[in-house]
Amino acid sequence: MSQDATSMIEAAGVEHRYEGVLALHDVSVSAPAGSFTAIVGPNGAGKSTLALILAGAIRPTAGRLLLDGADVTERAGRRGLVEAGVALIPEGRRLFGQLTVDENLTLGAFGAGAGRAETARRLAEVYGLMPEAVRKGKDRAVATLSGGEQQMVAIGRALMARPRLVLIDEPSLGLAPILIDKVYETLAMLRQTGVTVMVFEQLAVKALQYVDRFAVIERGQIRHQGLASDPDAREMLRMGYMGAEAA
Amino acid sequence: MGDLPAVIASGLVSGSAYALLALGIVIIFRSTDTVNFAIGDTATLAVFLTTSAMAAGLPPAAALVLAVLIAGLAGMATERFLIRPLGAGHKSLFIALVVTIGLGLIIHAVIGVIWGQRPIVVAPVATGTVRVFGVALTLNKIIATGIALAAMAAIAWLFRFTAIGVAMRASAEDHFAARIIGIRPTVIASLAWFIGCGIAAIAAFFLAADGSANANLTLSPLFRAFAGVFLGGLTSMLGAAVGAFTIGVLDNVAGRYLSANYRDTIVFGIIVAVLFIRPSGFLGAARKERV
Repeated sequence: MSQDATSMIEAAGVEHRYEGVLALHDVSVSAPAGSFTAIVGPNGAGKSTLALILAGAIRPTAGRLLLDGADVTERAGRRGLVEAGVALIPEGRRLFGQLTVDENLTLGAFGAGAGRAETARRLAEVYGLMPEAVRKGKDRAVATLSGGEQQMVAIGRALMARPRLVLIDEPSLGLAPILIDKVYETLAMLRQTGVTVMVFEQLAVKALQYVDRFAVIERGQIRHQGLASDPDAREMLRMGYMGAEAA
Repeated sequence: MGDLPAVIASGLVSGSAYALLALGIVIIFRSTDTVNFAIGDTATLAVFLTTSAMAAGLPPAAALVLAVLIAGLAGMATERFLIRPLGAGHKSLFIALVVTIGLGLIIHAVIGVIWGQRPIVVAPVATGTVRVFGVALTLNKIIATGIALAAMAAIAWLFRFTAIGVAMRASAEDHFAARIIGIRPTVIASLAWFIGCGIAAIAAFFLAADGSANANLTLSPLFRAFAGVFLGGLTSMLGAAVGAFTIGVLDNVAGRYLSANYRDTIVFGIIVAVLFIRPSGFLGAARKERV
């Protein structure tokens, strides 16, 4: 996952400090176009910070962010890279709980600059992916939906922007196992349509069932990167990271 | 108590001015977390400028539109050049508060310098009296209330049915989430300050059209608007409007039946009691920390 020319998104030597406290240290990760990547690691490892940086939502205190090989570090920190086709589902989903499902989804397109007709087209498409409860509750406030339904709406809102790259922080958080599979199946389906997907996940074992590449992050540093199909890599992950966690 | 309907009607009429000011305060607060204490003075300045134009022959309807535009643009400029450079964060929110108080004092002084301390005479938009459900109201006040209600309906429509209005509500709920899905915070802020100060100008325009205006035109109404805002909850637009109308009625009822001298004391005493029981107001949400 190093400096290959085909990387869609790449963090190069990224460092990030929150008021002096080091959250990320010399992190270099990348994802090629069309890949499904998991950044796995324990709580507080720096996953969320890395997700925010890769989405361009915050600017790293050092290092560079590359999109399609072009340096976009300077563009980060304001509206993210929404118009460049990058959508982030941040930690805690950050849906607008008081707004309806319809309003939340519509805003996803509005924020990306889509017109009215285009928004309606995307809306019809995205509702096709939503579970029935969400489809039937278009005018319900999002806060009244279940966790699983909210996660689907969060994915839907991101898709309304027609992204080329979707970054999802903790897609499994607070969900029952059956719903986690549902979410990952949706992401895998999304990837089939050519969208590059990146998850930032504490639940490494679940993520590795679906992704093709992964990186392990611990205490703000990348410990390992590899292909999910590589048995050695999986074993290493089990020993090094999962072992300590699952003990 | 035979005149109770008249007292309540009169309260609702004054309440409509308070409601516009209250809505202005809340719309601005929700967009930038800033309580704009200069809103009343900004609106007053716009009205003084347009009454001068009216005296020179500008028709009242055009003058009203002009006042809204002037106040709206002044509000936008305030946000752009005085508030935005302060940056985000709690420390700057307190500074922003002081900045708006200072701006209000400056505008107040400027009005005094240009137009003098004596009230200027303003012609009513319309003359005559109409009886509504047996209550005599001046046509001027009926028009004022009608336009205020129409403005509130327009705002409700904007926030409910337009994409930018929904985006403004989204941004009010979660600035960060709105930003990361691509909603421009600067656009939201500019628009909110324009609308907020613009509708305050509608209130100020009809307060002046009651007969006369001086630099303190919006002083007492703004106090009542703030009371309405806190009564309804600082974050709820509906709550602010309901709160402001409540204050208008309470104020009139207290003034008529209890004591004209102590109406302020009575009204604010009731507000303190309400907030003691429900600190976030009728409809306000408990404030959440934002990242």
